[in-house]
Amino acid sequence: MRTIFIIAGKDLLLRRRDRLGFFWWMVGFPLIIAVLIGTIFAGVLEGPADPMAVAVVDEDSSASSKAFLQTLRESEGLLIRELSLADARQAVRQGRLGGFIVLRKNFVCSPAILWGEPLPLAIGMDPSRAAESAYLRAMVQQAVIRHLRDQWVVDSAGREGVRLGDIETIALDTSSARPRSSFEICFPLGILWGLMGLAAEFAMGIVHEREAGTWLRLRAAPIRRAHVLGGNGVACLVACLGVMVFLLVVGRLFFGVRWQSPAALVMALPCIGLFFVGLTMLLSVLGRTESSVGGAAWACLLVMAVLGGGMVPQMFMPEWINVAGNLSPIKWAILALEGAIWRGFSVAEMVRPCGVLLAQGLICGAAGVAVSSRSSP
Amino acid sequence: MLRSRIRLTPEKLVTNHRRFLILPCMIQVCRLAKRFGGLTAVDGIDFEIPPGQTFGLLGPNGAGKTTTIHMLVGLLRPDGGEICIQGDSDPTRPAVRQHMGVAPQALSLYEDLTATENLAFFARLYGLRGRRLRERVAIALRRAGLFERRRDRVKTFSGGMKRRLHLACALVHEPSVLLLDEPTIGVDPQARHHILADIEALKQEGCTILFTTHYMEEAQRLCDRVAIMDHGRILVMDTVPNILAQHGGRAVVRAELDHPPTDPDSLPGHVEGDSVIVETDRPFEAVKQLAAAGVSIRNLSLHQPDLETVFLKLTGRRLRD
Repeated sequence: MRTIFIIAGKDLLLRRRDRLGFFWWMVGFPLIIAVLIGTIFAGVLEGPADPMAVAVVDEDSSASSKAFLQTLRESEGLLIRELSLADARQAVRQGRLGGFIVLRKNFVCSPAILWGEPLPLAIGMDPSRAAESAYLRAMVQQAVIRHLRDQWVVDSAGREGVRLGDIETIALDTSSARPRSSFEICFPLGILWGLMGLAAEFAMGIVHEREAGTWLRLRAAPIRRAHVLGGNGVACLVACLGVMVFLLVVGRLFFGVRWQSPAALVMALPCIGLFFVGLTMLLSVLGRTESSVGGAAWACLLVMAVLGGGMVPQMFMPEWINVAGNLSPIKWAILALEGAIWRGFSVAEMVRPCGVLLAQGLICGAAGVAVSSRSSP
Repeated sequence: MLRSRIRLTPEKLVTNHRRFLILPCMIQVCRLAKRFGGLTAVDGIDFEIPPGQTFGLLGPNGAGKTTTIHMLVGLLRPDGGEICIQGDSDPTRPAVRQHMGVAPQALSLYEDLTATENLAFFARLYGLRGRRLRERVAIALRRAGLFERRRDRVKTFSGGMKRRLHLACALVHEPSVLLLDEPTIGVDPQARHHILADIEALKQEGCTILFTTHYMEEAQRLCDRVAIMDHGRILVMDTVPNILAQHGGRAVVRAELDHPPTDPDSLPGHVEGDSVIVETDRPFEAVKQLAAAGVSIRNLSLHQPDLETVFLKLTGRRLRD
């Protein structure tokens, strides 16, 4: 083991000496990914912070339309601006407003709409904002129902004859089952990007060693090939653990990323590290030169990242990619990290992602070592 | 067969390269062969190197020198033949390589580590630690003339300094057998002189050295015996004087005369224009004969046969890739 640690120490020292590469791949790049994607998806995850700004075009200008307009104004989810049709179209086209509602001439909100009569209004939306279109439609329908209730259910004395029943709300403690912020989703992504960069760096380092001739001197020394590969592997594992711990600490201190299940975290980190050690061994034999290995490594890593939700969180991806992503170790690594950070996985629940990672790491490592043994002295 | 020879562990055979116990040869190679696909890189070579001797393996590019060294240190498995190093026939065993120092042809240094860190790293791989490690690293640094630059990263070194450190890394653990693959390639005359002096000192200390080179004068200066290789075969192997005597041919005396000779038949050798060329084993006798013939000599040159002459004679003048 002493020899393995000597070689690992040398590898880590060489990485540390390459300050630009070290800080970029291990610190800067993953942090940028985590913060950037976390910020981008903050609104999507937490719901719109502000009401949706829409225009209302009142073509009727009757008491009935004004009353409905008032109902719309009282809606918490909408911010109403009254405009002409031309101005409303222009504002939506320019992206200043989310959409517009046109109250048609002879506007009457009668209970007949409950039996299929068309609503006397229309909605205009930017076609690229389909989700917001659905949101606006729902908000308008809610306003129509409320308006009907006020108009027909409450009598002139203000007494409620008929009353629409409320829907009971069951209070759920979701703090442990869902991320508290988008950073809890995006820090695992950032960590994985850091580890992918690190795997590519170490793979290129192994090839560089072979190209530079130091491999011959190592192999001529009284040590076995296993010592050299073991040293490379230990160095890679230590670097992986260092990156993960560093980013988790930064996430916790500055971005509120929780470590909800420390036991799961203790399981996840070494398993993810060991997977990346195996992957590094495989990547190092994808080419004969440093540049060819670098190119091939990133090509493989990007495919794994896309499938595994390493580029965009899987919750925002189509179902078929989620299914295909089961093949990608990145998915299982993210699941293991999320399990420890916000999913609140128990040790038993962690066995599956960790087991998949260890198995994939073992397969990659064995393949890499086998090819390396055949192709180099 | 080499396998039938007495087998002793390296520890019993050698405790220090200055104190040999019983050992007929440090390195023995018998019918060694290596093929790469259809190419025969080494084709059944034999040689022996007794303790303390310096053996030169000479040959043009692609002759099979580096392949031979790689097989000697266990980097390549031979396709045929036997290797016996310090009584052990399997150099792929780490214990056999414990007492060997190797300086590959390509510079094998970590450019982002300092000279001290490089030496200490390789010394640790050979089991050195603590005070002895520090002592050996300091000795190696001084020997390479790099003590003042010991804390500088290798990437700031000149080519000659790197080559000296490269050799020092092979010596840091005090090996009894040293394999040097073209140790002076690509260095300036000063660095070359330093490296050669270093090898001479090691030879004086009793280290057994096998080295390959393109430079014939190095072999002539350092080697007790040389082997000239080509196309994977050893063409000739002996001491340098014996090789010169057998294959060098005779010395050539060339005398340029002030006037073409009036009676060429009275002169030794043959006449080419206004020059007389004499091939002889006794060049000074030839000069005396020319003087006695009364010719007026404008310029006189003597070309003694050397190893390069023999090398070119044996391997040809055709360019090699």
